[in-house]
Amino acid sequence: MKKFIPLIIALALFFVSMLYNNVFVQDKANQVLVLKEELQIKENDYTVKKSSLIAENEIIIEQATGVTEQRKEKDDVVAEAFITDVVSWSSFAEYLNKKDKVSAEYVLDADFLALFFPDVLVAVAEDGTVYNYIDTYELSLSLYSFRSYVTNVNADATRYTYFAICTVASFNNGGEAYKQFPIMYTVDANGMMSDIKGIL
Amino acid sequence: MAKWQNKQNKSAADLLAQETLDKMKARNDARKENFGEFMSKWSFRRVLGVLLVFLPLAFLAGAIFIFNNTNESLRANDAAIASLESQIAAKQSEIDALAIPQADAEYIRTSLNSARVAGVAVADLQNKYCGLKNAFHLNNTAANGNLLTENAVAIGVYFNDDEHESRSVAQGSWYFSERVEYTWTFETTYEFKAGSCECLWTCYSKDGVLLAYATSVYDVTSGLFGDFAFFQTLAGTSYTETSDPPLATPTPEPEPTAPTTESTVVEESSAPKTTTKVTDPTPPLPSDLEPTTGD
Repeated sequence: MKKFIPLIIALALFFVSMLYNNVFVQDKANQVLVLKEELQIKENDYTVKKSSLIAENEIIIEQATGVTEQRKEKDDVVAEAFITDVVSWSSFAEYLNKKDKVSAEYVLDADFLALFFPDVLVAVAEDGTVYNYIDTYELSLSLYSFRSYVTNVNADATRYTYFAICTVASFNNGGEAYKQFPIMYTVDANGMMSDIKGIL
Repeated sequence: MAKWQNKQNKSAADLLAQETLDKMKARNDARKENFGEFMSKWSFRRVLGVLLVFLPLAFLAGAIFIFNNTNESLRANDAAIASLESQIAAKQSEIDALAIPQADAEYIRTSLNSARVAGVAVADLQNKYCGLKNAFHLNNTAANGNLLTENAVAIGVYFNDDEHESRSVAQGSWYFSERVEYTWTFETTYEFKAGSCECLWTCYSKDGVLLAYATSVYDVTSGLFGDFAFFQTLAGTSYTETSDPPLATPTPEPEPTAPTTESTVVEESSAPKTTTKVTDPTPPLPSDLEPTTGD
């Protein structure tokens, strides 16, 4: 019988360790699951409350200022798309396309077109090859940043007037430079831009 | 004869086969005998004795392995529990912050009005600079210099001394030209976000040409403008570059104790500190190109 004592002790230790594993580890694992669920509930609660607060705030700000954040964001999208069409091109062909597009889609005065789409130097070689300044020097422009300020809202809050500050990045033959300029415009409730003025 | 020969051959083959078979049989028997001998040495007691040594060791090793595994799992779970509890506490704080009453319409209107009043005051002080600087140029006296300094100090009161050096930048003249009449205007602010208002001033000539503009953020709590910057347009720059003859020679100051004002912060700050913003390198914009032929 004495020979069996070590085996009995070893067996007892083995079963105790299995019991310990099952009871305690399982318990902690359950705690982790419960906490994960609780965290998920809190995150959902936060999201719902935040959305509702943002909506309330917008109403309050609209009551106080006559301006809605949503409307400004919509107008910013429209204006940024316009400015991108004006100052983003990377070849002479694209430059001409953008000029035609912008002239057709927006009401722009001659000053604006002359400022942002001036005539480009074009030369014809003896062999008939046509060279233009943009492609020869690999000029390109792209919109770098855009920030708008509401400067006026009409009486029925349908037309917002803006003063926007744009930064354009220009590249040529490996060189890079940035230029900031303002543009003024009005956007109506349908997202149509008018009274567009640009200054360098 | 052939038949007899065949018969002889057959019996030789048979004998060989029989011999091989016998050898294999003998080898098998020997193996069985060895195994039997081997097995006969291992009695049940002996086997049991070996098992009683190895089994406890095996169970002990298993117990130690399970115990170590359990401890590791517990440690990992404890860490996960601590992390989750802190995330839950943080999320609850965020939820509680949402419950704090937000600004109402009246508060926002009051804040915007404060920004407007301060912005208009700053615009008026900037407009005052034009006359003061002209007077100083014509008559380089301490009195005129002091007026410039006072104007700078008056402007500085509205600005925060922040990381953008808003106060020292804003204190100077944002735009000056003797060749054009201009007016700074504070553009009414409509935007209110998280206790601050984005503000804008514009400087137009009498003919309606935009010469310069400035931006800032008005903090409602402190009542100060910060994050200030000002910029000139090309038109504005063209009016500041001049090849006109120098102004009239200033009269010498008779009061020896009066401090000279040429090196005051007013004059230094009147030169825009944000030169790179005002006269950044001319990019290869199409407007700079010589137009010859068209499309």
